[in-house]
Amino acid sequence: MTFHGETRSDKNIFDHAHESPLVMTLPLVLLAFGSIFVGMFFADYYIGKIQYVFWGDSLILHEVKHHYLPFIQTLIVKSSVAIGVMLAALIYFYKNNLPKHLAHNSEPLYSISLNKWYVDEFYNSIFIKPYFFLANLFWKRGDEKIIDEYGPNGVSKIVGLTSNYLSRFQSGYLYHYAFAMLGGLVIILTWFIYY
Amino acid sequence: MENNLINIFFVPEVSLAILAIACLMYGLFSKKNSFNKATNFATLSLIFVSFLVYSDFTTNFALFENFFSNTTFTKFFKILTILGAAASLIISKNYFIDTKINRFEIPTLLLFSTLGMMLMISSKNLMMMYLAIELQSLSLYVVASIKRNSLESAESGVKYFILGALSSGILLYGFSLVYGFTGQTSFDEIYISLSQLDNLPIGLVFGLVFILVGLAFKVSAVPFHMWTPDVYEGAPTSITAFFAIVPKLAAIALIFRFCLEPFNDFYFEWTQVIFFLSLASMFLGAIAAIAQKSIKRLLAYSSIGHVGYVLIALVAASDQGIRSASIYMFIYLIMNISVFAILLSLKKSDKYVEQIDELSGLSKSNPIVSACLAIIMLSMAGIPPFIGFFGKFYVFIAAIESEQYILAILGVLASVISAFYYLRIIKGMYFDEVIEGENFDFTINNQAKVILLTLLFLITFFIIYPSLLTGIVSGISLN
Amino acid sequence: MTDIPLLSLTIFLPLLGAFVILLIKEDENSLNNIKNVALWTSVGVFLISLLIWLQFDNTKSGYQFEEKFRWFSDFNFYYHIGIDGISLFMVILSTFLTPLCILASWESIKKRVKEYMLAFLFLETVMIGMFASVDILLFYIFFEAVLIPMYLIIGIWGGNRRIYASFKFFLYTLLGSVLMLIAIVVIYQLTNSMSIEELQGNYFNTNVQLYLWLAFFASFAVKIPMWPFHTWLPDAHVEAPTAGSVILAGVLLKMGGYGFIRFSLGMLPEASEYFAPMVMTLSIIAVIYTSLVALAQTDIKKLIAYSSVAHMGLVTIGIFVVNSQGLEGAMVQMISHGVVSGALFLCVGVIYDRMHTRDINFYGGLVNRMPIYATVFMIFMLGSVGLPGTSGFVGEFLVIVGAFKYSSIVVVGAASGIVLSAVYMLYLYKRIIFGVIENEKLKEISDLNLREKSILIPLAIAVIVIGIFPNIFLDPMRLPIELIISNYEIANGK
Repeated sequence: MTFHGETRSDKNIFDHAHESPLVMTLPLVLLAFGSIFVGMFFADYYIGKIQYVFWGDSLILHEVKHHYLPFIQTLIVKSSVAIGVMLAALIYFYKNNLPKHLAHNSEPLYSISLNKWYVDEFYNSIFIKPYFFLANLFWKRGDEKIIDEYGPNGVSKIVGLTSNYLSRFQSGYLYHYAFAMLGGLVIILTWFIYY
Repeated sequence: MENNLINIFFVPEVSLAILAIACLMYGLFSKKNSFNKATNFATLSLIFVSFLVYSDFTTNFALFENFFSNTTFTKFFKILTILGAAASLIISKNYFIDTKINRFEIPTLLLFSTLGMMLMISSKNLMMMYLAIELQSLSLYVVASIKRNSLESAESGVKYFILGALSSGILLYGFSLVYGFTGQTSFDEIYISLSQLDNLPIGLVFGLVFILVGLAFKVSAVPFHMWTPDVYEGAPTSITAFFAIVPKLAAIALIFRFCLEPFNDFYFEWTQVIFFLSLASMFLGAIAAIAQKSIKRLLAYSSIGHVGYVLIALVAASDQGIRSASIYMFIYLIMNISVFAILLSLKKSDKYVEQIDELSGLSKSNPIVSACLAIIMLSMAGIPPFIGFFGKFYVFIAAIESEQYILAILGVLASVISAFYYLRIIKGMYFDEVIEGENFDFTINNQAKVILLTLLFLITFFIIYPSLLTGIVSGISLN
Repeated sequence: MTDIPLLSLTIFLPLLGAFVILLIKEDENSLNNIKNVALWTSVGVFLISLLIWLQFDNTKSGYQFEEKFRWFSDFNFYYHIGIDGISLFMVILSTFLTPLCILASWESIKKRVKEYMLAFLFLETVMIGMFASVDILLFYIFFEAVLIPMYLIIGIWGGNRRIYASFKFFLYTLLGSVLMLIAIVVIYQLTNSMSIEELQGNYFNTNVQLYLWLAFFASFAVKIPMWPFHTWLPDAHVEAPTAGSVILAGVLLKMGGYGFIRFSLGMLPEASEYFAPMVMTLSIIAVIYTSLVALAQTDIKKLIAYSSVAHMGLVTIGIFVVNSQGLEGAMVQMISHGVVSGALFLCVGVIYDRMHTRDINFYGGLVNRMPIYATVFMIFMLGSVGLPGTSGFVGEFLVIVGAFKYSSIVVVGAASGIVLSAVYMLYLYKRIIFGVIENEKLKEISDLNLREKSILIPLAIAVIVIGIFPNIFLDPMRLPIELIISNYEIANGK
């Protein structure tokens, strides 16, 4: 899809596309060379006869004969690769409307894989939205309405109300004051009568 | 003693009486500046009398010992009272002249009132007590209404007079009950006759209650405090200063002595009354002050609150209690003198500052004055490191020593509530926005400035060397 | 050298500087003088405190640099100060943060600079005095006196709701502290001694201990703050000026933790064991609850304020498990939080000084214009999360290890809190720093200037140093912590 077939991009961009400079190409060549041939040359050091030399004491190694693989197994691996290549060429290169038909016919499967199995949306609804809901709940209802209302704000409101109430006793009328004094006297005397 | 006659003049009360009459004459017969001359004379005579109290000349004449008590406690409080009266005269001199109530009767009457207070503090006999209380109060009734063209001043004088007369009546009835049941009027004799009883008969309890109520009026404990806000607000500020500073000292000393000398054995009875008075005063002083807008009313409630705290020390009924009360009253004295020194010199747009919201912007125009006022407010709230904290601290030490845990806990809670309105004054000065166009005017005469700065120095730096005060106080006792 | 009273000098040198400032008349020309006097005084105090650290002996477990004078003639109160491993770093934290705060306020405080500097220097005196006092009454006086300058700082130079915030802060803290005063008087009544040193261990019978513990708890729980006594903190932090928030979060909160270690663990061990489950519950709720609330915030400062509550929840867990990992973790967490939270508030101050708003939705994509800022902010943010290599990790890890010895449920709660803190911190960072600049007004924003760099870079270095070499900090405190633990275990019959 990327390297063969018709270009799907804008003509302007396509015209400007160029080969990567040597700085990038050389390491890529080295890496390509290595990814093909490293297995051949170095497999023995990891899982073959000379593994004790490489691993030394860092792992516990068992002497297991695993050089023999059933031919069918290797065939399966190699044929799946081949089938995959052929299918990809078929779907994306030769029959161009096949992808569309496939997508349309197997709609749920297509959407699930396109949307990465909806994992993100799942996390969003199970974790993130409730989390934010709780956060706001604790803040607005918990902190502000409950803790503050019954704590500092509530207490200061009560004190303020009491203060206003008490200042009404200071009415300014002399006989109110005299009454309060005598009332206090009587209360104290009554206390002593009964105690 | 030889020269008995000369020795009489060195008795502080006698010399103060003579000096008060002399002041009256001086004021009467001087043609101009009678107020200034009389005030100066009064101040000097007060300072002279305080020396006499301090140097403690003794003399015996005419049943002196039966009527007067002369202990370290009474000496301490007498000196505080006299110096407080002198200071209040000094700081309010300018105010009197400025508001044109510069009559020479004022210092004379204040001298007589101080004489009454000295007699109150050291009285040892019910008759003496009553005479002293009446002498003190009558002078103050007149002085409260001295501003003749002001309706509020007249109102405060009349209220004070009528309520004071009521309380004197209650007091006298209590005296008669006590006399009826013990047959004695002298404190010592009452104590002796009470010590033979196991239980106070209900009549004596009633007598005790009546007397305590009368004294509570003087000290403005709740619920006998109703006169305080109105009288403090209505009287001219300099008179309010005198009210706030001096009579409370004398009344507290008297109530302490009355409870702890004759009725010492029956502290169970009177501690209940004082417990109630103290608790109610602390809380009312804290809560009701929050709604106030006038500085003078706020200071009235604040003094009610302070009285609540001192009464905690009385409930403790111990030696530590007496010492704590002495320290607290000293601290109360200096805080109030400082606050009124500032109030009596602060004008805004040519009017004296009386409302709290008039204080906004003071920190910008007079940073030193606002800093002083802020320190005094913090000290009154009892915030360390200022001296006000130590007053409360000593009171709580006395309370917990006598296991009055409930009173202590409720006391600290009340002090948190009261911290709010003290802070609100600081907020008004510092946090509020300034209204342009009105300027503050802080004029203070030199002696008042000296007093203010000395007291502020004491308030701020007491913590560095507290032993000055505590050393003096540790020797105070009732014997 | 040992004759100079270094500790008293540390305490009172700021006051001396304040006195000098008092004499300078405030006008346009003298502003720089005032600021310079304040700055260099506080730098001097910091250097003296470093000197104390250098001369500190890690092998002694008692108080060093002690000074003791008779104070009150009629009672057993002394002017007794001293430092041990626990208070050493609290003092150094205070002296380290104060010059940074003064430097941070250089440009942003324009009115009443003189009073501001006076308040700060007085605050420094009182803070250091509190940590250095060995006499309980002295401790209480300094503890309460902290309220005065903080109240003024919040109320005069603060934000819009500063009056509400300053009163709430003052009265709430005062309420707790006065109950502590009663407890102190009761202690004096019972033992006739006011010395923290003498009273370590088990002196009181269990019933009395319970009441005393509750009284001290009232004070320290509001100060730290513990849930549900924390509601003053968001308001106070948001409304305070930048430097005020830094000192509040950096030092003042630690007073509560320090108090718990000295008083609740040191003097009231049986009651501490009795109430430890309650403290654990409240701490776990604090950690999880406030981490959740922090996520929902739109004001950056409020978010960091709530994160402070969460971090201090970890501190209380570490303190009340009473084993060496827990206590050491709590101490390191306190130091780390002081640096990290202080730095975070300073970072907020940087962008607030430029844009005058703290709304998260206003900002975005700052990395494009302020890369250096983004870097230091990232260091502090990761320190708050507790990334290994930063100071936050050392504290959190030790606390969790200590908590594991106590109960696994506590570990679950605490560790989940750490995860949650990563949630809101990373989310905050992403919203403010990463992305594209969308707001027009941000297009001209400038990166850190020299002054801001000189504030934030030392803090960043401190975060990393504490994270990589925690032993420098753990060594001095090892012995005093072991003493406390052994007293605790003896008292509780282990």
